[in-house]
Amino acid sequence: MAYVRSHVLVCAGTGCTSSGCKAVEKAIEQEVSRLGLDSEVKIVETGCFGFCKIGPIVMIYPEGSFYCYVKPEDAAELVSEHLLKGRMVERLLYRDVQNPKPTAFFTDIGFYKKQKRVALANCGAIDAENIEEYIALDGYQALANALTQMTPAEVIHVIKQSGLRGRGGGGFSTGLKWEFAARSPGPIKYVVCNADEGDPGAFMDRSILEGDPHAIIEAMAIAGYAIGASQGYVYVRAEYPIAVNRLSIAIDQARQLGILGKGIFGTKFSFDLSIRLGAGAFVCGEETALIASIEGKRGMPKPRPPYPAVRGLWDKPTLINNVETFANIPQILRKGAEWFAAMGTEGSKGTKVFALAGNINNTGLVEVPMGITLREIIYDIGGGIPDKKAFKACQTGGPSGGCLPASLLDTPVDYDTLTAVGSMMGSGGLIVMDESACMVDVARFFLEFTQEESCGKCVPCREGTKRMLEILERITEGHGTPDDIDLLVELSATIKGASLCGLGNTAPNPVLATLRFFRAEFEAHVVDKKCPAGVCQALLSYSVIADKCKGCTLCKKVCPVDAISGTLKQVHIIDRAKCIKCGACVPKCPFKAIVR
Amino acid sequence: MLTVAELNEIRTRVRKQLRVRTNGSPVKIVIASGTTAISSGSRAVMAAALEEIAVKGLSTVQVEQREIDVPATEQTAVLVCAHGEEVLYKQCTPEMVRELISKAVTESAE
Amino acid sequence: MERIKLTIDSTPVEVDPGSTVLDAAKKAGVHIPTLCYHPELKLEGSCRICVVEIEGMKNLAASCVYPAANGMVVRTNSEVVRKTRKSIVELLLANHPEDCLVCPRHGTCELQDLSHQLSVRKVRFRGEKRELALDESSIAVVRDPNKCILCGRCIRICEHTQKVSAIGLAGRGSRAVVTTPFNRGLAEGPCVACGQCIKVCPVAALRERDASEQVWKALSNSTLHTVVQVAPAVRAALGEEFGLRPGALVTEKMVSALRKLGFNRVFDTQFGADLTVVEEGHELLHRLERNENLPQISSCSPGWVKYAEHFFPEMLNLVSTCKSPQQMFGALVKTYYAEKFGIAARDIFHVAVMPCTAKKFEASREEMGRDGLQDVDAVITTRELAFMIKEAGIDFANLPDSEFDLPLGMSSGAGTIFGVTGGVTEAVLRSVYEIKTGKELEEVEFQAVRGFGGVREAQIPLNGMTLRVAIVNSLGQAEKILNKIKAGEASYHFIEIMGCLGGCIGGGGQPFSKDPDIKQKRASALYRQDHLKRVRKAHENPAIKELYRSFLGEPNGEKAHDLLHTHYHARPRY
Repeated sequence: MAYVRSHVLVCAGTGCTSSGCKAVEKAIEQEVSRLGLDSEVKIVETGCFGFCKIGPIVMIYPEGSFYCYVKPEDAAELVSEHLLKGRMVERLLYRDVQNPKPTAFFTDIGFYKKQKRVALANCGAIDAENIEEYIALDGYQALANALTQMTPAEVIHVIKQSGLRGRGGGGFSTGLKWEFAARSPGPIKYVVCNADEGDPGAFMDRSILEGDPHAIIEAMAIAGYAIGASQGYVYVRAEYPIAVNRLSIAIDQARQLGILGKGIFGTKFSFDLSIRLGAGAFVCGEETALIASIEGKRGMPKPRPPYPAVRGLWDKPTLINNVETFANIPQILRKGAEWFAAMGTEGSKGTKVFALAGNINNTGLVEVPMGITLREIIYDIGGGIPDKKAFKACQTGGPSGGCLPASLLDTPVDYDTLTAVGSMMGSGGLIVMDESACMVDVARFFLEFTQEESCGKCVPCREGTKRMLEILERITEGHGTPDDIDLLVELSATIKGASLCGLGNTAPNPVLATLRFFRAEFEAHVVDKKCPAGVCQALLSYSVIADKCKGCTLCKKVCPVDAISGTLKQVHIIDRAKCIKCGACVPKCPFKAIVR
Repeated sequence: MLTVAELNEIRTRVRKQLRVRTNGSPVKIVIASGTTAISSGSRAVMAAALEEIAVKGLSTVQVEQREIDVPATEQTAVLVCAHGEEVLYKQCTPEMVRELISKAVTESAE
Repeated sequence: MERIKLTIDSTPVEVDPGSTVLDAAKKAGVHIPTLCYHPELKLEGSCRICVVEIEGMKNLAASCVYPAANGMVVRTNSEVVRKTRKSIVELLLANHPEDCLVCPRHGTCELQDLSHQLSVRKVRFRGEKRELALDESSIAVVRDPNKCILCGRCIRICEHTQKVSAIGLAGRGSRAVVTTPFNRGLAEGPCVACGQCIKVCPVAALRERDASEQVWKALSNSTLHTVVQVAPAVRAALGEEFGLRPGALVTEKMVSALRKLGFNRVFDTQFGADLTVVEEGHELLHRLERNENLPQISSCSPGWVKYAEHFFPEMLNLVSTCKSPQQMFGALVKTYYAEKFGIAARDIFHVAVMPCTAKKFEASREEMGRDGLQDVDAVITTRELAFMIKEAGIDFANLPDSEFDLPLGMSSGAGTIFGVTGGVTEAVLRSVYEIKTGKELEEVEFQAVRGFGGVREAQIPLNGMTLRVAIVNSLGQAEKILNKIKAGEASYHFIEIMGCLGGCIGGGGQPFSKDPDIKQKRASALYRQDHLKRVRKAHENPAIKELYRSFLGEPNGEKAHDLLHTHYHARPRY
C-alpha cells in the first residue's frame, strides 16, 4: 500500500455544505487526479470545524494550513501550488480580524487558541463516516475497558466523580441521573439520546453528530451497560439530514464490526441503537415530551414525578442525556474523572460548547473550559463586535435564558453563576447584540418563539405566554402603559411557578432578565413612547433638520410613498401621516439632515 | 464479533495513517519542490521516497515538500529532520533517497 | 405497606402510598379547586388550577398529579397559590366568550363556578380571542372550539375510556385546539355519538345537538298527533335537574310534565324494552340451537353499534339483529299504534326522550323507517327535556302523579332495568330461562350480573347447558373483550355491551352531576322500581302478549322481522 503524504480535510458540516464545500471537494479531487497525485494525497470529508462563517474550509496536512472561503475555482491553484509544488496559497489562508498576517497552522488562529476541545475533539479531525479513524483515535477503548474491566457501579462512580452535568440545559448531575436509572428495577430499560436541539441558532449537537457520531454510539453503549439497558434511541430532528445520515452510517458500521449487537467484545452485554426522527418541535427537547414522541404520540410533556429514570419510554426506566453530554463520556472514562474535573470551576466541570451568533465577528461553534468569562468568549475567541459598534447585551440559554449587559461581561460562564445573574447556561446558544438592538424587541422575539413552540397543554404557558407576547407587542407598537410592565412581571410569576414543564417554567426568563438589566428601555417605550435603539417602527418619526438640509431633493426621489415634499434648494419636509418609516431617506441624505 | 485485541489492531494500523494530521512525527523528510527541484526530478524522488516508506512500513515518518533554497545545480535537495537534528542532502536521486530512508530513517525511527 | 405522613395546611394526615397530594388534601378536609382533573379519567395535570406550595420546591406543584411523600409540608391557600389560581382562571376567561348569560351551561359550568369560588372580579388581559367555526356536522354532538378550555377531559374519555379517539389535540401554542381528524368534523370520523365527552366537558364546548325547538314546533301544531316515549334511565335522573335528591325516581311526575307540555300520548320505552327482550331472547335461543353467530351481542346501545361498525366490522354478524327498544317502539308507533287508533302514520310526530345522544344518531339511520318516514321524528335528551319543562314554567317538584297511557305504556320490571349495565342481560335471562325450560324462575334477580365492573362474567345453568354471559360497559372494555374473542382467548354465548359507563343511567344525555356516587344512586332507583313491579318478566307483559296475538304473530316471525329487526354495515374510521 502506498504511503499517503498529505491529507486534505474538507469540512462537510452543515454550514460548509451550504456554502458549497461539496463542489470544492469535487474540484480538488479532479485536480489531484489530473496531476497524478491520487496515491500521495488523500481527501477526507470531516465534520464541522466550528468556524462556519469563513467556510468552505479546507485544511491541508501535514502543514496544518487553514484555507477559508475556498471556491471550486481555487482548486487548481491550491492543488498545483500547495500539493504539487509545496507553496502555500497565501491569499486563501485565514487572516484574523485583528491580525492581517495570514495564519498558517490552525491552532495559532485566535478563534481556536483559547478553545479547549473535548466534546468537539474529533469534529473536523476525522472522517465521520469511517469507523476506523474513530478507533485510531482511541475510539471504543472506553467501551471495551468498561465492559471487560469495570462493573456498572464503577462506571457510574467515575461519571459521578467527574462532576459532569447535563449539557442540554438543566445542568443536572449526569452521574446521579445514571445512578437513578441504574437503581430502578426492571429487566427492560432504555437509553435515549436527546438530539432535538431546538434553541434558535444553536447547532452543537448537530455538529457533534455530523463530526463524531461514534462518540455518541460509544457513550450510549457505555450508559446502557451502566444502567442495564440493551436498547437505545437517538431522537434527532429530521431537519438534520447530514447528522441523521452520518449517524445511520456509523450505527451500521458499528453493527458490522460487532460493537453494537449481541455479546459486545465477547461479554454478555448486548446493545443496539435506533434512530427516531422528530420534526423539530422545541418542546420535544423536554424529556417527557420526547418520550411521548418516540412512542408515536403527540409530543407533549407529562407531569414529573415519575421521572423517566423510574418510568420513561414505554413506562420502563429510561436514561436521557443530550448529545454533548454523551460526547464527553468516552473521554472521561479513558482519561479519568480527575482529568475532567481538573477543567472548569468548582460547580461546573469540563468544557461547554457554544454557538456564537449575532453581532459578532467570528460566528461559529466554540468549545471553552467552564469558568471562562463572557468577555473572553466574545472578544478573544469571537473577535469582538463588527463595524466598530458597541456591545449591548449577550443572550445565553436560548428562549429559557436571558440577556446580560456589558457590566456582566466578566461573569464566569458556569451553570450557577449564569443562573444567579438571571440567565442560564441552556444548551449553549450565545447571541451577541450590539447597540442597535432594542431589548424590548428582543424580549418580544423570544416570547414569540416560546408562544409558537408551547405545546398548548397547560394553561399558564399556553395562555400566559400569549398575553405576555401581546403586551410586548403593544409596547413595541407604542400602546404600552406603565401598568403593562407590572402585568408582565405578575404574569411571569404565574407562568414560571405554575407551568407543567421546563418550557413554561423558563419562558418568562427573557422578559424578566431584560426587565432587570434594561428596564429604562422598557420605560422609554411606555412613558416617552420612544425606542432608544430605533428598532420599533411605530415609535419612530422621521424629520428633517432644517439647518442641515440643502434641498438636494435626493430624499424626495427615494421616498416610495411621496411623503417628502420640497423643491430644489428649499428645506424639505416629511409628512408624518404619509411616511411609512421605511428609513430609505436617511442613508440617501448626503448632509445627515434626516433624523429618526 | 470484534474482540478487544482486534479493536487494538485496527487502532494501531489506522493510527499510523492518521499521523500525517498531527504534524507530530519524530522524523520528517522534506523533499524540495519548486521550479528548480521539479526540473531536476524531485517528483521521481518523492515517488521513490513514498514507495520506500510504504515498503518498509514506516509509520513515524512524515513526508513534506517545500521549496529548499539551494542553488539549482544542487537539486534535488532533501532535508531529513530527526530528533531535533536536520541534515541536508543535495543532488538526491530516487536511489539515494531510498537508501537515505532505509538507513538513516530506519535507524532513527521507532 | 407503610403509610405516608404529611402535613396539609398544618393538618397532619396519613395516606396510602400512591396517593396524590390532592387525595391527601381531601383526607385532611381541605378543598383544592380542580378543573382538568376528573375522578374517572387518567390524570393529566394540565390546567394547573390545583397548584399548591410544597416546602422546598422551587415551583408550585399540581396537587392532582403530585405524589404525596413522607414529611411533605403543603400549603394550599398561601398568597402565591391564591394569586396563581386566580391568574390562571383570568387567563382562561381572557380566551373564552363572555356569553355566560345565554350559555347552555350557565349554572352547571365549572369554569364559572371556579371564577366565582376564587373571587375573580376582573379580566385584565385584553387581546385576541379564538374565533373558530363550530362543528355542527354531527346530528348528536356539537363542538364549540371557542368555548373549549383545552382541559383534555373529552380527549381522555374518548381515547382511553371509549377507545374511539374521534377527537384529539392539534396545533401548538395558543393555536392548540381540540379537533377531529383532518378537522373534517365529528360526522366524518369514528365518533359514535355516545356523548361521554359532553358529560365530562366542564364548559359548553361540547353539547348535545338541541332538538327541543323541533319538538316545540310539533307540540304547537294542532294537526300533528304527538306521541312521546321515555327511556327508563330518564326517570332515575330527571329529578336532579329540579333540585330533587340524586337517585329520586320521578316516573309519575315526569309523565305529568310531558302531558303538561302537550303530548297527546305519553308512552314508555320500557314497553319497547320488553319487546326487545322477547325478540332478542328468541334470537339467542335460535342461535344456540344452530350454534351459529355466537356469542350474540346485544344491540340496544346505539353508540356501541356504531362503534362495532367502525372498529369491528368483521364481527357485525355477532350483533343481535334486534332493533333497540327506541326503534322497536318507533316502528310500532307508526304501524301498530297508528292502525289500532286509526291515525295516519304521517300525522304522528313521535318524540323519544333518551339519556343518550347516540339515540339521535340512531333515529336518523336510514334503516329506521318506512315509506319515507322515520319511525322516531325527534330525540331529546334528559337535559333537553328538563330545559323544556323549565321553559314551560312547570313546577316539576310539586306536580301531581299520573300514569303512562295504555297500551304502550305498560311494562315489566325487565324493561325498567334496561337502563343500567347488566339489566339487558338480566332481563333476557329471566325470559330465556322460562321459555327454554318451561319452568318458572324461583329467583328473578340475577345478582351475579349486577354491579359496575367494566367486564362482569356469569355462568347460568340452562336446561343442561351452562350459558356463559359477559356484561361490558364502556367501549374501551368492549375493545378488550372483542379482541380476546377474536384471539380465541374467551368464549361466551351472550354479551351485553353498553357504550357508556354504568349503562344508560350514565348516558351522554343525562344531567351533569358532581356526585361521585351518582351512577349507583340512579341504578338503585331503577332496581327499586323493578322490585315494585307486579310483572317482572318481559314475556309476561300482557300488552306484549296482546301485541303478538293481535299484530305481530310469532316472536322472530316474518312481521317481527320486518318491523323489529335491522342490519348493520361497516363504516370507515376516517
